[in-house]
Amino acid sequence: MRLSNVEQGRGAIGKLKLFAASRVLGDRVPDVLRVLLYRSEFFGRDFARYTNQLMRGPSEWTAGERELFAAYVSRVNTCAFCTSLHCTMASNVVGTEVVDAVLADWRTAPVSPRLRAAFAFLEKLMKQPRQLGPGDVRDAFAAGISEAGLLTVVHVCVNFSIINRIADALGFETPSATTVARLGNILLGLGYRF
Amino acid sequence: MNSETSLNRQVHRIRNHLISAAGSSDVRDRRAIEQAVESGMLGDAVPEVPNPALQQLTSAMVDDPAKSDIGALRLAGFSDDAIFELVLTAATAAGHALLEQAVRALDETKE
Repeated sequence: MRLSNVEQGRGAIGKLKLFAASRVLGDRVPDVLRVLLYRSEFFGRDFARYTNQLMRGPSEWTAGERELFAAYVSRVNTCAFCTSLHCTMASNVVGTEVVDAVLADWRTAPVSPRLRAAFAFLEKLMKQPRQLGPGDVRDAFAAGISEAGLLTVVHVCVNFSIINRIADALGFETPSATTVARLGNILLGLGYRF
Repeated sequence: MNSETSLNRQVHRIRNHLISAAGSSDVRDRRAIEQAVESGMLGDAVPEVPNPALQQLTSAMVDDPAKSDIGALRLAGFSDDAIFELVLTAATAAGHALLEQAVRALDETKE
């Protein structure tokens, strides 16, 4: 973490939350939590609410599929911390083989045509946003994705494109595998409510 | 027809707060990097930002966020709280640019 103020937390309540989180995790609090808890009225509170609704709210995509999208977006953005965390969560739900295959090449991964269409849309949005057009939307609809489902895919891209950039700009440390697994279990079970 | 949803509204609210709320950084700086990052994300020329350290942050956010030079921002006089705000604003601008493109594509499908 490149900002010592965020590393240390702010005010008695902020520091208490960091202490409580470290007790639950049994390790240093991951930097993403530090950013969301620091001056949470400025960003973290609303961003966590948005993330929780997106990743755990009602959707035509399962929580595991949404985590798989998050892992893919984080991989394309080359964010080591987020890729590690969301691969772990996706693997717990859809299996490590599927996650590895998607990240290697979603075109040949053993996933449904609907899921494959979602990755095609994600890739275009991330790599050629200016070229994204009605044809891409129609391709997704033709594969069985509803408008609401496509918006979920879009928002996973939006959300993780934001947090990936924060992670890399502020130099998030990648926690140990044990902490990643523990945090993943908490996020899968309780959601993104901080 | 408009593809407005609760999630869209939440992103707009987060972004609008970041570029208007009082904080340790100048709102004008936040607005400048927000506009510059949005342009850069869509492949347009990144507009000039009136400070080399902010310009570097803007370019890094578009191309390679890990290259963000936090030390240069400090040397330019920004406090760590101000840098926190500027980084959040720049990152959110990148996501917001992608959302606008996707919503435009969805809306064009309905025309």
